[in-house]
Amino acid sequence: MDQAAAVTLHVRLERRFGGGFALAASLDAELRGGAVLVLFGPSGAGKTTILRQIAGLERPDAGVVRFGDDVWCDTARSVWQPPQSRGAAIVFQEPTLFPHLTVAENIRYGVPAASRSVPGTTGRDPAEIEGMLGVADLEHRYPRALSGGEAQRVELARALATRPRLLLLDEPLAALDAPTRVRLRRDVRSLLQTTGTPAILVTHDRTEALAMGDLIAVVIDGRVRQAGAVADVFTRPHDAGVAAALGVEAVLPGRVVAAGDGLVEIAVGDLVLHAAERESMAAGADVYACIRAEDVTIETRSPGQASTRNHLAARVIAIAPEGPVDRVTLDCGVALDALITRRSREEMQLSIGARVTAAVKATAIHVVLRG
Amino acid sequence: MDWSALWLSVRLASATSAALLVGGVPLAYWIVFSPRRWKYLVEAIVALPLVLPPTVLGFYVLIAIGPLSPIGRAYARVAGHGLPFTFEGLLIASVLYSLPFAVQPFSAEFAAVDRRLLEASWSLGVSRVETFRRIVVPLSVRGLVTGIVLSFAHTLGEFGVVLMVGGNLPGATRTVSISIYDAVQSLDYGLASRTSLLLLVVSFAILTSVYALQRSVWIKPRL
Repeated sequence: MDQAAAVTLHVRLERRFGGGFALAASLDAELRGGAVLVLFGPSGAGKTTILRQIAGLERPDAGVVRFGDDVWCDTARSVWQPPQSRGAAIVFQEPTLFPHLTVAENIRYGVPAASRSVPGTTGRDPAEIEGMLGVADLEHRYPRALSGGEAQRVELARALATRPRLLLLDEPLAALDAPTRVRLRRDVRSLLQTTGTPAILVTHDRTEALAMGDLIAVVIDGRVRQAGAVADVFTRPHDAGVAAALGVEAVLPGRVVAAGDGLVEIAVGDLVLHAAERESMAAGADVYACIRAEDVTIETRSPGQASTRNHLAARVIAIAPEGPVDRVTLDCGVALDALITRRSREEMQLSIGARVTAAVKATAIHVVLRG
Repeated sequence: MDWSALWLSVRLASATSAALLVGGVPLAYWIVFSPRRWKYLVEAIVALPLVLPPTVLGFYVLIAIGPLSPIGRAYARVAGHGLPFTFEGLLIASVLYSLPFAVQPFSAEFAAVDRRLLEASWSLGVSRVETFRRIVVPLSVRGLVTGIVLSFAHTLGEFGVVLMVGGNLPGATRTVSISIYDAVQSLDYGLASRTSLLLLVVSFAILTSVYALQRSVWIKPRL
């Protein structure tokens, strides 16, 4: 519960690979206890390489990695800390449990013998972590007898049992089936918060980035193109490349007001949005409401009876041509983009400052529950 | 039966296997995990005894440990006698001669251990040496046993190197293969056939156990 203690992560990495790929990543982040920094980007962008260099499993040609006051790597000053002394436990996509050890032995593997005999000193002994991850019943099994989801839970328990200063997650949920993935997302997030462990998560899955991330760094072609709070980066991408990587979608942070009858009511600022309920969520839960510009329609007259559930009073604040269609940016309390055809815009005689109604179907709002 | 020759062979083979376990494991580890580019040179040197005639190897060892070499002179100063035609000299030659039979199974098994297991272990704060002891060794038991058994069997059957380095001193350097040669030279075919049969049976038993081990007849891999 060391929520207050924020640690600064400072990363400057340069590395050339055969085949022309070059990594030149620069990243600074304030990591509170329990906070998750997401390294997001398409496959092959260099996310995993950045993570492995932070872990100390690979060396940069030139660069610096600082975590708080500790210099983990500084090529200019020939400083190099091996992975053992960094306190940064890594969890891979495919489980890497030790096959000749039982689950219990795996989980206690990295716990020094001396501290194993004083359980509960900081409230994070292996048995408690097993309980939090629900793997206590598996203690006597060997890894080969575990399902993929169970193996990843044990893997997480093994990493957290060493009380790492930083947890490194390399797409740990990517190989799991969807329901297991959703359940583990929440468990991991709450576990990180309970233990106060900051984490860096590599993923190319935007739902996972939204569900688990507090901070996000968008990695494209070996560079960190933008970094910041998740909602900020998703709503205000610096450039077209970042926007394309994130997917053109408004990401609105909100809170569930009411749920039931297949519908969720979400308060986003002063607005209330209605969305289809795809997974059960309770009132009070923090969510992101994601809306694609293609799914926003613009109405100039007040509509009659229609199936569309969301009608938002809006003002046109920008119109930009985007290929054959126009992107109309609306202010309806929050910023929302609509993609409409040029002919529609001409017929409606839209201009900047015009008062309109933005309509969004409940089924077009994708709600992501934050863990 | 020439029991003293047989006993000498067993002692030599045991000592050789033990020495190769102590020295071969670090060497195999280095070959597998070192990032050095020139390690193929070391691999080639380790494999040399597979193709070199035993007489060539024996000749060089004889020169290297003889009174003309610094090693031989240093040993003679400390021990009071030279290395050639002694059990110790024979042991040095046997270790070199059986090097690939131990190091190659060791390194093949080390290389088969998933590299990410080691990385996970390191990131959990466990040192490289401890990781080797707690992860690599238990997962390489079959390779280690195979290497030890093969080098034992190989030493048991060596002839040319022994003859070059050890000569033929009863109780000190006359091994079982040389005693067979002596028996044939003196036309004692009965003795030669009894000893040969024993060596054949023992070698066959050892190889059978190695191949059974490879097929996991006894040790079930827990993967």
